[in-house]
Amino acid sequence: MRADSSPPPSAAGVSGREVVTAKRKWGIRLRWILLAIVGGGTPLINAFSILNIPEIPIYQICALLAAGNGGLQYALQRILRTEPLADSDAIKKWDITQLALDWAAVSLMFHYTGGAASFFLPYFLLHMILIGVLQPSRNRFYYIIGMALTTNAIALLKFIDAIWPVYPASFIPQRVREAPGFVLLVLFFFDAVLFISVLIVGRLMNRLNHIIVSFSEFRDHLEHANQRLELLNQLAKDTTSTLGFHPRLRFICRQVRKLMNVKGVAIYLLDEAANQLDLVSACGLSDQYLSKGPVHPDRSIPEIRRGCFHYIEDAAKDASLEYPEAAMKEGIVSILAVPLQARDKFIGSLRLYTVEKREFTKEDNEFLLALSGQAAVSIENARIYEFQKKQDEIKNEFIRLISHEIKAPLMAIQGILEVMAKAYVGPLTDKQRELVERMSDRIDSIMETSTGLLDMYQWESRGRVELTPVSMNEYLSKAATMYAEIAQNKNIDLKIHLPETELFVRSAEWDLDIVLNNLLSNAIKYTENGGRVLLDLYALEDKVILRIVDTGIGIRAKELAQIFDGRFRAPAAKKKDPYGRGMGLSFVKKIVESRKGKISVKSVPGKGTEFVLSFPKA
Amino acid sequence: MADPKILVIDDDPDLVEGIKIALEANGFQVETAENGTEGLEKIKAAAPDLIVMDVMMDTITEGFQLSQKLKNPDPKSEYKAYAQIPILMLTGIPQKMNMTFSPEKDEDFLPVEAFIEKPIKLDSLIDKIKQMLQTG
Repeated sequence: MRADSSPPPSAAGVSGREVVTAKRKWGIRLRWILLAIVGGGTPLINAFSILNIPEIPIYQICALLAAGNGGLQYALQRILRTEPLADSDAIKKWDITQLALDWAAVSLMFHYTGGAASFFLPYFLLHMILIGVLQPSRNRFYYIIGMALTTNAIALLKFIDAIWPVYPASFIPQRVREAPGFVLLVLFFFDAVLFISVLIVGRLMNRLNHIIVSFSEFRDHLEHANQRLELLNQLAKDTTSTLGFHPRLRFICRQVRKLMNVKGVAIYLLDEAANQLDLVSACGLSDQYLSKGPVHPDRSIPEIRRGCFHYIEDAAKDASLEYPEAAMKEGIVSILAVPLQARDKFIGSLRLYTVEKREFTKEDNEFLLALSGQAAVSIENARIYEFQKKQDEIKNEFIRLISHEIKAPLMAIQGILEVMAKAYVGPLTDKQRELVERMSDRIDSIMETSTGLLDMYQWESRGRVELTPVSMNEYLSKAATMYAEIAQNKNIDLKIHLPETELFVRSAEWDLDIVLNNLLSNAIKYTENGGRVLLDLYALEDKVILRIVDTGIGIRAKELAQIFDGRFRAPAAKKKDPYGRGMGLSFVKKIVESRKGKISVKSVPGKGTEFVLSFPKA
Repeated sequence: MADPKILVIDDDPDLVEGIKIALEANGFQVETAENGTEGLEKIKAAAPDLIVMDVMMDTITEGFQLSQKLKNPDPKSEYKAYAQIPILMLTGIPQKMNMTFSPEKDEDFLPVEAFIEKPIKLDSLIDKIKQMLQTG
């Protein structure tokens, strides 16, 4: 057995990562846009307004920001490539670097554009709010506090001329902007708007985050449910597939492992003779664990026989477990045993192994219940399929046996009897010759019976047959040619009447072979030397009619009534009861009717017999 | 002229025995072989005038293969000397009209001069052999 021991694929956690990544990418994008605006906007503002922003420091800030942002972008790509988790240490460091860069750039810009008197105060506000929004809540809090403190400090230091005051020519008169009231008022409004906005937007963001997370959870959940349904559906559809027994079980194991997100899955099937559960398929478990031995359903988990789930929460402590050491070695903590029942019969168990104590939800249980039912039916079907395959082999062997092993010796006996009857090995008395001929007749009839049996067997057991329009004119000509020699040997006049227009019947040629072989060989056989046999084909309305008429010994009314009823009856002595054998006529009728045809017979003992076949025109 | 020599190749010794007695009683010399390999040896050693062989012997297609070997049109074939010996093939194919062999139609597939279907009647076998030897 091959055990698949790769780690189970995780079903959740993808969408959370997507959201976090998108936020950071937006941060970088916004910074590039900002750089373009500031870099391109500064000379424009200086040219077309009375504002006079110091361009050199602004470009230096822009260069710093561009280098920083480029570095951040590169680092983010690297992290995303190498780190699978959304909250790794590398990404945390990245976040702090980003905030530090923003803090430095904003502080410098604030200073060079005029501090509290800056014309760009609304922009700084907007920037801080945006950064705050894009940050996780703790970073957002520190960043806002940090920014508020820095900007306030710069404004105040500028006001007391503690740092070299840069005041680009402004709309605000110098008198106003140097008044203490103005600075305090601006800072008050600035701080108030900043904190209130961040608080409100932060709240909104938290809620939005929450909605996004629950939405993505919901989506995962739906997808998961969908996958489960798909598996059930597939198993249901699978009932007619030709997937072999073991591939089908392996498929079930792998799918359940994935959809239930467990360490391993195994399927045990009941060996009724030994009353034990034998492992037949598994995945995610080591060979060592799998070779632990059979499970005895009555000793360990009698509930499962009654169709109940059995959950072993702690494999180390549960007394019902047969191989606790093996389970511990394998790292298994919990085992859920689900019964497999096909048509209310317990056939085995599906087992799920986890490495942690697992709360199986109501949905999990419902899924496993539906799945186990479907899987059991699927397993039963696969078993039936395997069984049928074996039956086919037996059937083919049977056909070979009849056609060769039985007929070959009969043919040899027939040859030797003929040698005796012909007196090649010395003269026989009359009685001896009669007995030899009777033996020969009986062997003939056994061979005919076996041929008929073989035909019937093959006919019944063949699959779908392609029906084609067969030209009856052509077909009967061929048949007449085939039987010409046999008829000639008995000096029988074999005639064939064909219509001028070709008549077609929808059939397989083989069907016609069986029908005609039976009827025509009987007609010749039961007609005395010098008699006549006629094949007469014509159309009657929408029917094709074939009459097979002989001037033979005929059939008595009593036998005629049941001529199509019997199967292959034991051949009675030929001379006494010629039609008693009813050789294959019930089979002939069956074939004719399967092609929507009809067969009837009329006979006058001593005068002759007439079989009439009618088929719909093709 | 000496009695025509017939080689009968079939894996059923009882059938061969019956045919042998009947043929000898009708004035033929008879050699027998149980399988294709032995048949080839007998062909080389005894130079028969006609070969009667079964389609299926030890392996299902042995008769086919033997006849194909003997009738190989390749001028370098080592059996070239025997290509002229007529073959009468016994076929065990059940009587089905659409499965009848004919020497014309199946020349490549089964290059033999004539067929006779099992179960065989000794009289028709003898008639056929006589007919084939006359025309050949």
